[in-house]
Amino acid sequence: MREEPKHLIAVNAIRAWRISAIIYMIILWLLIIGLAVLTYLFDFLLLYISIAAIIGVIFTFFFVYAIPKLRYRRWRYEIFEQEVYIQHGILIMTRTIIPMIRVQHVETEQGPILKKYRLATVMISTAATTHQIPALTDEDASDLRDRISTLARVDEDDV
Amino acid sequence: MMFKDDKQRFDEEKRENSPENYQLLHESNEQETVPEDEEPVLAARRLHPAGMLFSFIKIVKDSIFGIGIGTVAFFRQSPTSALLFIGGLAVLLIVLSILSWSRFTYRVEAGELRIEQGILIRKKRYISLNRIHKMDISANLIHRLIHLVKVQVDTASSGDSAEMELSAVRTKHAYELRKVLKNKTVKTPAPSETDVNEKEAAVPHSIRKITWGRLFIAGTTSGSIGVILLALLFLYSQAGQFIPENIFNDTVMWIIQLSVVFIVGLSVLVLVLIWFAGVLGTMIKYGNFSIEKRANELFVERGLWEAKELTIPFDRVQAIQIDQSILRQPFGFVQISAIIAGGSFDSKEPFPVLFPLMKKKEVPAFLEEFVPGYEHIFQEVTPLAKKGLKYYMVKSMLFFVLALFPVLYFFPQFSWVPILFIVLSGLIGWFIFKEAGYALFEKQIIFQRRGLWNKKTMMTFHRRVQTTEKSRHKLQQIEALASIEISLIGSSGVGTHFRLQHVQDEAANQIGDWFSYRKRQQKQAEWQE
Repeated sequence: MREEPKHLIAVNAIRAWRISAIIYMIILWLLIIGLAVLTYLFDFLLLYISIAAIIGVIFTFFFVYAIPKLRYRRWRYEIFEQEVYIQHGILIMTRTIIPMIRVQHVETEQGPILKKYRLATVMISTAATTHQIPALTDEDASDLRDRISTLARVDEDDV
Repeated sequence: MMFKDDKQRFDEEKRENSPENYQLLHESNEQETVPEDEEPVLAARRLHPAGMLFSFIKIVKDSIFGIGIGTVAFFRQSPTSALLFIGGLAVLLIVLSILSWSRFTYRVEAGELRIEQGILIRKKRYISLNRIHKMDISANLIHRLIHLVKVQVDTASSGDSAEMELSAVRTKHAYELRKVLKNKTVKTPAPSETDVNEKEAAVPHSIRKITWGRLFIAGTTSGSIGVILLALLFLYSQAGQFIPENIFNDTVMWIIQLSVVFIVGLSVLVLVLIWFAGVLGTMIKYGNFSIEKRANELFVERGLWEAKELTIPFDRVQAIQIDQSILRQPFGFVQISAIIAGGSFDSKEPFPVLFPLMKKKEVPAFLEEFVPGYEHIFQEVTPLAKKGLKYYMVKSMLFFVLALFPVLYFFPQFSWVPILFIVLSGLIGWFIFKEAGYALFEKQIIFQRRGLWNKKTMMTFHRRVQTTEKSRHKLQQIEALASIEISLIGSSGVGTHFRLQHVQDEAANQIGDWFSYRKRQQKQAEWQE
């Protein structure tokens, strides 16, 4: 757990995350606009709407611009013969070791946004935990899934 | 949940159909020298009619809240309608319990335990006998009065405590069922039958029982004293709302007028009663406790009124945990429990107690005898680095430090209260830091940490650990500290996680390397060269 895992996830992950963040931000901005309209109609204090707008700008900057980038930089993974090694987390950086023989099953998942960039999320479950590697290219993801499921052999003795 | 079950079933089928496995099954069949008599069969049976009573009680118990609200609501309208409501409900429930009893049957057929039930929606549940891991028989007071037992059948999957429950079975029938199941259930790590029998003959079954004296100590130090005191305090603070004010005041005045001696006497009496309740509770729960080591499993039996049994196959033991509560620690008493995959006595106690109370120095011998491999659990642990102390102190004291400011501002005369708590919580933080630590063996790992009341020492094997996770936040990164977490299979699907916070980064790496299969192989390769 000294050296970090070698591989970065697909660069397009940043874009995919940004799009989903933008969708949430649109909802936020609709609320803010609604508040603006109310302020205009009923002469509310301008203070509230300005605070809301400032919060909106800050949120948009962080969730759309900064966080996806940081998240991408931190997300790393490496697959060895015996184990999967994952690193993630912006404020708290976490590194996880998942031995192949502990893997119960592997799934890939692809929502509409990820699909647009031909990306997929791989989820690896052990008997106690579930881990995911987000946004791998389609080929990498299915490759990984196949590799893990051939390498993973449930040790019946130990359950 | 459904999905997971399906998935498992699918896997199971796949495994059974795959050629290697076919061979495996085949081989193990050949090895079995004990003559496999024809397919075990048990004709379909209903539960004992008392089952109706149990299902009635269960429905009422589960919906008591709704029934209560309903009754109150109707009572507001008129007492008669409330009576009608209760009457109607009672009739409905009785009919339902009779119907559901008559529809519930169990039988053993074609190598499966088959349970059919349901009034409108008929449910059929077939469990292959090969997948049944254990069967538990227990009896509560009512059961005992009419010579019945409750049977619980467990499979290895999902970890929902009991997969199937037969709430009222004649003792005779339960043992018949057990006989049928015993013939077919999985003997895990698949040793052949003869092996098992030989071993069974060779290893004398060791049994350990608890003495009443020890139980008495266990009850005295059980900590229920604190809980009951808190409950009484709460009752006192709430009493004013329920008891008419003048009576309450009169009582308080009356007490105040009494002499100090009497008040002291009274409080001593209350304390004695509380202590007695604690002892009684423990005696009821752990009375007649005995643990028995069999060839492949541990067998635990306990309960003064309700005799409960639990069978723990060795390969389901994930870890051993020693609990030293704050009341027991000074006297060197500990409690031993096991972390297991699958069901336990009940959901309130996910990890079954292997022995309720024992002297610390007796533990290694006990573990060596009953769960070999764990006897070095009291190995000296490596303590945490000094620089982690501040995090523990801050975490422990933060709340009270924050509380100090408003108190200083609004009630300066009471500021000693938060200050007292700050000092206390600081001490606790220091203790938590002091007692945290870890130890590594070639194959085992020990984590030790303190909750508020209990010092917990956990030991597990490398092959039981599912994943290891190291995490660091910014401050920890700067100071070369880290938190390390290992995950084991738990009784529920989410696993059991053990976390050691603010260890040295190097220590976390060391634990990671110890766990890493890759690093282990590298090391082995180096050794061979």
